[in-house]
Amino acid sequence: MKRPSRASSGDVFGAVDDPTRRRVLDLLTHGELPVRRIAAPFAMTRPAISQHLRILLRARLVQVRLDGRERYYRLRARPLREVYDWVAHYERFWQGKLKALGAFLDREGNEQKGRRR
Amino acid sequence: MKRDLKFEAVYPHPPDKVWRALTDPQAIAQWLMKNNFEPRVGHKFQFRLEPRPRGWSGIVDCEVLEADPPRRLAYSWRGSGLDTIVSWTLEPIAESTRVRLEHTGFRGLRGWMISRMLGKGWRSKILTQNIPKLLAHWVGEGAVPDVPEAQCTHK
Repeated sequence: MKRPSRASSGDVFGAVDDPTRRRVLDLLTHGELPVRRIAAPFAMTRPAISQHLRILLRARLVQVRLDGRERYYRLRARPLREVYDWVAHYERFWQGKLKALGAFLDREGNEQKGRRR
Repeated sequence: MKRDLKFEAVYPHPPDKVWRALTDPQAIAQWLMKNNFEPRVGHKFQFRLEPRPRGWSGIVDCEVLEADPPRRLAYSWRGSGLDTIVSWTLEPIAESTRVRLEHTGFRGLRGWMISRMLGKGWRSKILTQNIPKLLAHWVGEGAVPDVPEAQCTHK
């Protein structure tokens, strides 16, 4: 699989292609968290988690806030929005079209019966 | 690793009739989109969606890949950074037809990401609950402009 470039949105693709980072994003959907809380559910060293967070940060999927010595991360949904819209769009699109196909078939059936009478 | 969209529907009509609805340009236009389709392998055609949806040109470039009446129809589905395949499989059940629709092969930048997003664990929770909630909240803030189209195609 060819990786998109690292510039701009390219990072988003690479960033979400990792189960740990997806779990981190999932955790952050509940709100802002300090690094130690993000690291807690993972059997991983803090530097390893920090590395994942850096990748997410580069992809602008998270933003960081310094409060004293603690770094707080929160999710930035913006890069995910378009993708979400697309998935939702296609699901809705085909579901709607299959319904429309059913309605079309029913309509055709009635017309044919009508003509035969 | 690819993730696909799969749908299934049963219509109380025979496969021949469903096949006509899937392959007659006038019929297709009534339930799917305007088109210049011909049920011939190698035929290149377009679907046009009007009015144009937000963030999409509304044009899908296609080529017929399979046409086996009244059982199977497949065409490529390309547009707005997507390079995918749409296939229809018809199966008779008594007086009815089971239709399987698959939209597969999400590739390209968007496609690749979509396939990731459809991946295990994400679809169930993050996509159906968390992200929509978050997006609603985010959109509600009203401070951030729409993601420009160019951002996704930027190399």
